[in-house]
Amino acid sequence: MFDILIILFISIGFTITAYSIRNVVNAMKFLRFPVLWRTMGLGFIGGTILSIGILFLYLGGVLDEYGWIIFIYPSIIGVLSIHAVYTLTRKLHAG
Amino acid sequence: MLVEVLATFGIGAMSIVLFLIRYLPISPKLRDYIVSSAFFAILVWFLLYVFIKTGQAVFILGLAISTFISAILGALAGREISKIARMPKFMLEEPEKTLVKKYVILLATYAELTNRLLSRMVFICDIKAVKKVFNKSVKDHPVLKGCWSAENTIKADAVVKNLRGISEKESELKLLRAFSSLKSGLIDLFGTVASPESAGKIVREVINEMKLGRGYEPRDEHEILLGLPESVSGKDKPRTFAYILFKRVLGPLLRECKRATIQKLQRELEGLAKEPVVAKVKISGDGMLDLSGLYEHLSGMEMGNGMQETTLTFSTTLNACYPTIRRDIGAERTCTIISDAFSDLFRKYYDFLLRYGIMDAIPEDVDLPKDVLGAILKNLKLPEEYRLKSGLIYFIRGADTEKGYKFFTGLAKHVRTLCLTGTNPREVRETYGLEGVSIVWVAFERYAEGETIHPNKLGELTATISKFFGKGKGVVFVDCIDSMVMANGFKRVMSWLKEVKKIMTKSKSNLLVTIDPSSFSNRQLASIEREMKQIKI
Repeated sequence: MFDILIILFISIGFTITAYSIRNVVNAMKFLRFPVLWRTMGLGFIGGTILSIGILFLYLGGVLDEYGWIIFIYPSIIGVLSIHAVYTLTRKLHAG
Repeated sequence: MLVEVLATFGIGAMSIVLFLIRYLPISPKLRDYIVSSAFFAILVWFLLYVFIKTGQAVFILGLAISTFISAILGALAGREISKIARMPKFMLEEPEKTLVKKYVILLATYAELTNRLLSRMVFICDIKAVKKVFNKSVKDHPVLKGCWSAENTIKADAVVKNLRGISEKESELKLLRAFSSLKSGLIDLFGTVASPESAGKIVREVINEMKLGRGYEPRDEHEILLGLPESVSGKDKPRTFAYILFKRVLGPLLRECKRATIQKLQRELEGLAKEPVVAKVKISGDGMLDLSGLYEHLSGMEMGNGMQETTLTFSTTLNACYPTIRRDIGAERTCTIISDAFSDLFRKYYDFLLRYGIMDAIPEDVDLPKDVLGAILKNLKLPEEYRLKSGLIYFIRGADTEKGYKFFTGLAKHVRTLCLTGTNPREVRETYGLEGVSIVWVAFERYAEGETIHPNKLGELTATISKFFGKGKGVVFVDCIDSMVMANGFKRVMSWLKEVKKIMTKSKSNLLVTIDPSSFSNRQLASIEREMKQIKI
C-alpha cells in the first residue's frame, strides 16, 4: 500500500515538475539574471531526477544504505543558490 | 557520520536560500510560490535523513507527499515566471519589471506606441504608403522583418524571433534604431498628408495616453522622445537630453557617494551659482538630482539653444563634481562608471553627442572602450569638403542662397552652427531641414515670431555671435549680407566682419557668408575676395 502511494506521489510530482521546467526554460529568453534561472532550472531538474532515484533506491531496499550519496546534491544546489541570490542582489543594487 | 555532515550542509544551505529569497525584488505571488516550494523541498531532504536514521517506511511516505506538494508549488512558480515574461510591460507591477529583460520591455513599449500611431494613421494616410514606409525600414533594419500583420499592426513576436541569437545589449540598440527609423518615417508621412504640427500633436497624445492609462515609466518616454524626428519633438529634446545625461552619468556616481561627499557636492554646486544655468541643478541630501529648475529654464527654448545650454550645464556640473566624487569612491570606480555610461549613451545617440560636443565633457583620465573611441574619431573626422581653416571667413558665390544653404546643411551635421538669415527661420528650417540649428532672423521689421535683429544693429549681431562662440568652436552662416550692406553701407559691414574675425580667431571658429555678385560692384567684390576665402562648389 505504502509502495503504491509513494510511486504515485513521486511520479505525479515528476510530471508536474517537468511542466514547470518547460515553462521556466521558455520564459528564460525574456528574463534577466540568467544565473538565477539557470540555478532554479538545475534545482528543478536535479530535484525531480533525484526523487525518482530515491524511489528506485527505496524499492530496491538500499535507500538506508546508499541514501547519503543523494545529500551531495542539496549541498551543491544550496551553495549555488546562495551565490545566485547574492549576485542578483548585487546586480540590482548596481543597476 | 558522512550522512550527518552532508545533511546538515545541504539542509543548512537550502534554509539560507529560503531566508534570502525574501530579499529578492520579485512579485509577492512568485515569492510565495518559490518560498513554499523550497520549504517542502527542504522537508523532503529532512525526511530522507530521518528515514536513513530510523528506517521507518512512514517517513518515506511523508517524503513522497512533500515531493508532490513541492512539485505543485514549483509548477505554479514556473507558470508565474512564464506569465510575467510574456506579460506586456504596462501590466507588470514594479518588482516584476526588474525580472524582465530591458529589450523585451522596450519592444513591448515600441510596438504599442507604433500600433497606436498606425491605428490613427490608417484613417488619414493611404495604407499602401504606410506599408512602403514600413518596407523601407525593414530594408535598413532587418530586425523588423515579417512583423507586419494582416490587421496592419506590428507583431512583437516576430521581432523577438528576429532577435534570436543576438546579445541583450545589441538587441536593445537594434530595436532603438529600427523603431526610431520606422516611427520617423510614419510621422513624416503623417506630417506630409496632414501637417507637421498635427503629427507632433498625435505623437504627444499617444505618449500621454500611454502614460496616463498604463502607468508608463518616464525612462522609456525619454528614449522615445529622443528617437522622434526633430520637427515633432524639437522643443522637448533639450529637456529629454538633459534628463538622460544627468540621470545616466551623474546619477550612478552620486548613488555610490557617502553622505558627507553629497553635502560637499551640494556646497560646491552652490559655489558655482555665478553660472546661472548650473545653479538650476540641485542635489538633494540623499544624492538624488533635482533638475526641475533646469527643465523650467529649457522649456520653450529653441532646440539648438536648448541643446547648447544643456551641454554647457552638464559639462560644468560634471567637471565640478568629478574631483570630489573621485576622492570618495576611488579613481578606478569613477572612471569605470563614467566610461560605461558614456559608451552606452554614445552607442545610442552618437549623432547628438558629437554634434553638441558632449564628448568634450568627459574628464581627461577616463578611458573609453576602443570601439567607442574608434567610432568617435571616425565621426569627428570631417569630410574633406567641410574642412575649414579655423579663424577664416569664407564666402560662397551665387545668385541665390541655394548653394550656400546646400553646403551649410551638410556642415551642420558635423559641427555646431548658428544661422543669421533674412528669411523667416521657420521657412528656413522646413526647407533645408535645419532642425537642430540656432537661427536668428535679421529683418527690417520686428516680428513677434522668434528672435529678430535689425540689420543695422551690428552691435547686437556681434553680441549674438560672440555668445555663440563663447560656448565653443562652431560655424556662423550669414545669408543676408546684402541687406546688411543696404542698411549700414559696405564699409561699415566690412569693418564689422573684421571685428567678428577677431572673436572667431579666439574660438578657432568660422564665418560663412553668401555673396550675390550682382549686388556688389567690382571694387567691392575685389575687397571681399581680399578679406575672405571662396568656397567653390
